[in-house]
Amino acid sequence: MLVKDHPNLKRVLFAAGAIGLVSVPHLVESQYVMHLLIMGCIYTILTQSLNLIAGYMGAISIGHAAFYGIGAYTSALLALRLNLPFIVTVPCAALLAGFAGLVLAIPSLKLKSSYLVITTIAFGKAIHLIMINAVPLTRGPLGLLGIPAPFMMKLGALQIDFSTKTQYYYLMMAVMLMVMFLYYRLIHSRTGRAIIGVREDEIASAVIGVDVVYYKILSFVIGTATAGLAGALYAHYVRFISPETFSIFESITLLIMMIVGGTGTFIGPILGAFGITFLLENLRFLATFRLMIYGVILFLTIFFMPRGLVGLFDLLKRRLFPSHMEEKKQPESN
Amino acid sequence: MGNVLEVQSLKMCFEGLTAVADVSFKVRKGLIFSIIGPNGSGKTTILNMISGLYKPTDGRVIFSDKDITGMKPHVVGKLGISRTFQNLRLFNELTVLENVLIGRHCRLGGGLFSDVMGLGSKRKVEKQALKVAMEYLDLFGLARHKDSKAQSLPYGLKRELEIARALATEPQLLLLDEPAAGMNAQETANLVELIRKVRDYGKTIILIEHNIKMVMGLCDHIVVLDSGQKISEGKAHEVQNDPKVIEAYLGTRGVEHAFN
Repeated sequence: MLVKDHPNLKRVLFAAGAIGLVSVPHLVESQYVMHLLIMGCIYTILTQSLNLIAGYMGAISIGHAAFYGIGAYTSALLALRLNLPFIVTVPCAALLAGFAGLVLAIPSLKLKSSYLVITTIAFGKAIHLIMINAVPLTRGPLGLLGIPAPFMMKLGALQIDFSTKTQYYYLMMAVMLMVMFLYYRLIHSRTGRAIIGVREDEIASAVIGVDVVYYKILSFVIGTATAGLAGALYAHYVRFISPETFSIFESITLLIMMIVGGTGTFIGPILGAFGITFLLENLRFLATFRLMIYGVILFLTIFFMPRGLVGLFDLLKRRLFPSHMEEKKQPESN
Repeated sequence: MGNVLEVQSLKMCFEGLTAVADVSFKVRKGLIFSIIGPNGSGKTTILNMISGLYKPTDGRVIFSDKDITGMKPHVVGKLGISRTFQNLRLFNELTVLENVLIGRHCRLGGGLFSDVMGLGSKRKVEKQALKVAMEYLDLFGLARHKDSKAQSLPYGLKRELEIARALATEPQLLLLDEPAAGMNAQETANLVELIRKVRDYGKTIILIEHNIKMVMGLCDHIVVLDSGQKISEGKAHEVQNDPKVIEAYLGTRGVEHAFN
């Protein structure tokens, strides 16, 4: 509970982080590092949206990449086939992914944990197969090429476009911070409490007047719509998408980011998303053995820091400031 | 005073096994009403039907002149029936305060939009919710534990927290399922005081309990169940001397054995 106990520390971290993120393009020369930072932003949005479903609401999903893919393909196809502008295709992508989430949620959220996991795997696989086999629409394994970069805007003399990495970095960061802000509001509200209550005990939540089915579906739809948003932003950034990107391995990557960062914590997804993005890039020389590293990371995390990086920082803080801990412990021992 | 709850010919079958067969009773407003009976006599099943967790096979549940039979538990909760559980169902990973705040959920206004946008009305609602939740914690002497995880509380306080959470929904009718289970004599005495206090706040209480001594001293009206049937009803002393009740608790053979 590192963050919760220290509202001031949280503010300082937040401000320092924001300033750091804004100044990054001026400090970093490498386009490659900029690329990683943009992907880190996209993965943060994805991981946080998965965290809402799996961490806060408690329904493990191994099909999250499917919604990411639905968002990417929707936005790309609308832009390529109908020439719709970025500002229209992105919300459409989020809406369609959220709708797909609703369609999956209504029958499957009644299932108990392990059956739900299998259902989400099946759904992820089904969407993946559609991407590969609906050739007239998606061009199958060839993927979609030439997705336009985001819009250009002219406000008098001021011209805004997002064709360079630095510009896209600012766009991604703005979107990421906006998503994080709204998620923070959501989680720390009446709605967020109800979602967490559902995770903790469905029956107890129901008898005190919480509509369990509604909150399960609501969090699933918000989470999947957010994944769709991330997908759209990804498509217009890399400007080429293929089914390979949205396979079950991507879903598992997102789960690992969430678990390594700290499941059900607010800043965990940021740490996990950026941490794993950079780590995996540095392990590129291992080629296909990288997947083994996934297993090792997951294994080590679950055994040695079950509450992820957030839990680890919490522990360090307690070691460094033991007086604070005693203060906290007192009411518990009474 | 009128009836808060009326149960008419309630029946519950689980795949051929009849857990509750044709039970009727009326609960008058402002009383402590108790359902007792040996293990497996259908007490908890009746509470589950009243709170909407089970849909009765037959019969009706009338709450404040409204038919609530088969309604969803969260609807029943919002209408004004709240409950606790025999095996404690707290939100263990959350703090004491958060447990009670979720109890306030169904009395708070606003929806997703105002929650996410953080409108002025939402802040007012949150502030008010926090204030009311703290009042409930104060009432139960739990205020100093407000930031502790529910899991870390001693057993007796966990029971009290569950009652506080149920009361935070502002129920007219509170269902307590064996609240004294696993408590020592001192904790039980505190609980009895607490239940009286809750009754004095104008709440009606239905209590299921194994501890007969506690029930006899506390309850205004008692219904005795055996094998899903109501076998006796009345005030404590009336029930106590009913031969059917004695038989149910000691068993016919037990009585015969005692005489031989």
